[in-house]
Amino acid sequence: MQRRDFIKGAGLFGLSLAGARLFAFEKGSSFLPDLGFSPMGFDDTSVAFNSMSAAQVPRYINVFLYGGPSELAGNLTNIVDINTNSQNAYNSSLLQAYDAVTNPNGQITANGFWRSAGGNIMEALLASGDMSIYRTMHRIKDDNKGHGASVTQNLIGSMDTTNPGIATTLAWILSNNNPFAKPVEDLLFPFVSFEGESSIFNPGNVSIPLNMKPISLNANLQNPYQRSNAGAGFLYSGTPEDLALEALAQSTNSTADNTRLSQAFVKRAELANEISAMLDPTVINTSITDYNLALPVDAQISYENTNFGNRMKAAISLALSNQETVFISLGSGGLGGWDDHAEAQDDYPGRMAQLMRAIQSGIRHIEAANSTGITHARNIIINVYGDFGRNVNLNNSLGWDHGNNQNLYTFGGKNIAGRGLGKIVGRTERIGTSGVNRQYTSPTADSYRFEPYALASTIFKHFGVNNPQQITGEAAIDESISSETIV
Amino acid sequence: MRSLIIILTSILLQACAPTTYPENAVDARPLSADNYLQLSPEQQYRITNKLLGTLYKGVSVDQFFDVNKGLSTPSLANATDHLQQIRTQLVTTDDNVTNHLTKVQNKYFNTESRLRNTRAIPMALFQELPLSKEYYHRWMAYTLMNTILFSSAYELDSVDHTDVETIFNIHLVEALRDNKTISQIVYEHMISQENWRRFRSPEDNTREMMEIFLMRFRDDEVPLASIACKNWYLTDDAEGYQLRKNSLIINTEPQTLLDRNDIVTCKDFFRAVSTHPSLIPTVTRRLVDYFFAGYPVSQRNSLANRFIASKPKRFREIFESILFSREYLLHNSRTKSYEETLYGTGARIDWYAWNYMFHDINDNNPGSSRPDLGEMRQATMTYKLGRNNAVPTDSLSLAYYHKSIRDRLFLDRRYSTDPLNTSDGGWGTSFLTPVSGAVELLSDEDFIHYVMLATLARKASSEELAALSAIIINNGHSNSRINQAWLIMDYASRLSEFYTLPAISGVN
Repeated sequence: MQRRDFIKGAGLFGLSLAGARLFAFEKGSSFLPDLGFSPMGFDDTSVAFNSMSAAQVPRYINVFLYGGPSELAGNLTNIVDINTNSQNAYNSSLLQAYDAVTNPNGQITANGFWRSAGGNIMEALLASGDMSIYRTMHRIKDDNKGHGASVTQNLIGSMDTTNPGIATTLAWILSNNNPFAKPVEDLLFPFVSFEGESSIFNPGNVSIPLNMKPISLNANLQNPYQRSNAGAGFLYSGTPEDLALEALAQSTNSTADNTRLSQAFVKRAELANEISAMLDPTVINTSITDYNLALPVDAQISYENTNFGNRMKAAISLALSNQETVFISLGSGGLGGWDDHAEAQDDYPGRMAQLMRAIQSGIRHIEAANSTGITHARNIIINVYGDFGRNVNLNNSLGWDHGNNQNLYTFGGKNIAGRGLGKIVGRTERIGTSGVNRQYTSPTADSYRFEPYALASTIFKHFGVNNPQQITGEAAIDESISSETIV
Repeated sequence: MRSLIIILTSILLQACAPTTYPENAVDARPLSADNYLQLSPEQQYRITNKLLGTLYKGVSVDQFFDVNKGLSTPSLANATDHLQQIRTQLVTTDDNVTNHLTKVQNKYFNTESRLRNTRAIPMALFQELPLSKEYYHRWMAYTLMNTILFSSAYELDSVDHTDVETIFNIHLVEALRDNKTISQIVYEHMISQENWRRFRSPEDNTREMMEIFLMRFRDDEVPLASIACKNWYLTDDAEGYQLRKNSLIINTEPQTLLDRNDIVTCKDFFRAVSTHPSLIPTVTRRLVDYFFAGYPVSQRNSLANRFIASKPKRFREIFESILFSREYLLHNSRTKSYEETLYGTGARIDWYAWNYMFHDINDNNPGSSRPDLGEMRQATMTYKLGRNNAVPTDSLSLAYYHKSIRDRLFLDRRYSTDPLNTSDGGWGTSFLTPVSGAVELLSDEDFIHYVMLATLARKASSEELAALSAIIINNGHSNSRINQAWLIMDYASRLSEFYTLPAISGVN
């Protein structure tokens, strides 16, 4: 039997989106209906804002690792104890410190990363001040270990899965705290997905203005929005017949019952016109080549032709070329990706390394753009996390079952005030009975820790919300917390 | 006497009182023949094609209506309860099924490599087999494999084409043919290697079985179940992902979970799941969530409860409760899957699938000019937890969906008249000149209605008639029915209603 190489992730799994009730959107007000309760899921009247300028606006790239990624790539500090108590032994190289001269096969880097799982890149990004890792994103509330609930909760920023997603809440924040010089309704593609639909865009019970709804783009920079003739030449894009049919169709769609689909067709028409200009592969590749001329050979921007590489290249390129895109969702497709119940040591390190290489190229791309005067490049923040962490016991299928404690990897955003980069935060210990499957890491008693919903609070804080705990129930991550000792 | 008057009055009032439902009510009752026959011809056509489209079939305009009488006010070719006809077909044996299967193999799967594309095989069968009991088994199997219940999870590296084939043919089609109960089918699937290639460790498998088949999200029960299953494991890639049972570490201690305290072995666990009182309600609810995607939770609960109340034991009972319900046939307006759109419309325009069509649509080859199901996020039998209940309608997925339908179904014409030429797909002149002979004689206006009925299952509105007529005339297509058909089809492909099941308005 041959293992197949998945070039493309297969998308989401079993997530259904709550339908949106329709209410009129009043320009200049929030898009919340007057129902006597807030459909946002929090008391929206209590949210306080700090005004911000366009120069302060972050651009978020959210990389969600569906399936629940093991933390071990970013945290081997407990590996000896883990291995001693595991049902099945880890590879011996994983227990050894890496030394370029004396032990090049050793996997533990100076700061406790898994070298061949991207750990060498993490070391580099940590040293250059482009990354922080938080090793203790840890659930206490509703530790359900189920994909469906955990994914949705983490992408909504709340235990209540009927609430709007993080991006929808962000849209509401922007509508109330607009830093741009134009109305939010006129922003071009503020929310973008390179993974299709995601709970992060769940509308909940909120009516969202059409332009604030996410658009989906193809990570390979194709444009499926242009119509071809496919045999009927007079129906090619731009012919009189095409334009007349499009006008008639849009008129008919405007009275159709299926609003979601009708809106998707309206978006489609916009995208057909805009996307070629914004994401021309030739222009992007040329700019990267130009950047590389000024970079050392061993520090070039080099996106691999992989799921991660293509998506990161597209996301960074978009964020650089369109200042009005503030949130990009970049899930790493398919539940099969990170749900390593079996053969984990074979599959996980390579996948993690691929992801880190894509991010490294992304950071190089950002820095290169910044050096040429694209000042908002350093407003780009990349976050990487998933449903939950995993057990650290190797089960009898040599994999890890669902756990809890996970890493938050966060990159970029040097322009954002209070950004705490270049840090390792959190200490862990193994808990569970020796020889039993349910063993995992947990924050030590004196370690900093936070619930996954704190990440949503942090995003909202960066967009000017003074008291994000009003929204999620959790304080934002304390980015001023001290780092562990960096070697 | 007074009592009699009261009783009689009461009876009369009940007979006359309109059926009213509180807000958010749903109607799970089957649509009766009387109700169906009272509908207008156009409504009957829409409902019949709604049902057939769900079953990946369709009935054409010239078969359903008497086209000789024109189409400005369509009249029926025959006053028949088509829904009952469909019910009958679904239980009627196809005596020719072996020949049909051979033809499918010869046309689409005439090489070893093509035969390995087991996800394409059911799709080819739906195109070529007539409606019958054998067809229905395959349709149910395919539908179940695209839900969380029986997905073969082809996206995983531990799953390959033989697993897809085994689940489809053995776990489902044969089991349905043998009239097995839901409980039996679920049990035999759970203990299979194919299931363990999807959920690959004791904790993973036991958790997912409880969540998927019982909607039981009890994390505390997972370690207990995995103790019972501790000797079951999947080998690695090098050893071919075989399901093995280690005879040296079997469990002997009874575990307490699933509301019982006698679960010792892994088979005990699976038996407990397959006989649990929550199984039938959960399976029913999963299918309701699928077919009524977009309905509020309360309404789906209500529908599921009513279907469960009939105490189904077999999958076909649940499917038929859903498909023939008034709620589904009259009111459901969810987005259609690619298959429902392709096959349903294809049948109405006499569309011919070329021999690579179903390979192409499953080829996982992003970036080609022919989008595949994966790009529409509707890959078949692929996702670990099945397709989304709601068809993805984000801008990108819809763009690919629209492009494929427009290019492959509507703008692609079959020019060859040689029945042995299987390389040329599309709709042909048979759509414009069907055997009845009446379509050629249609007026210009009625021709527009003809194509609209074939594509959107409704006539053109007066605004559409005027606008489409103007486009035809102003651009020099008055003398070409082919060009006119193309124009109208292209128009239909741009409408959100084309991708939506039609609700029948004004009928309670």
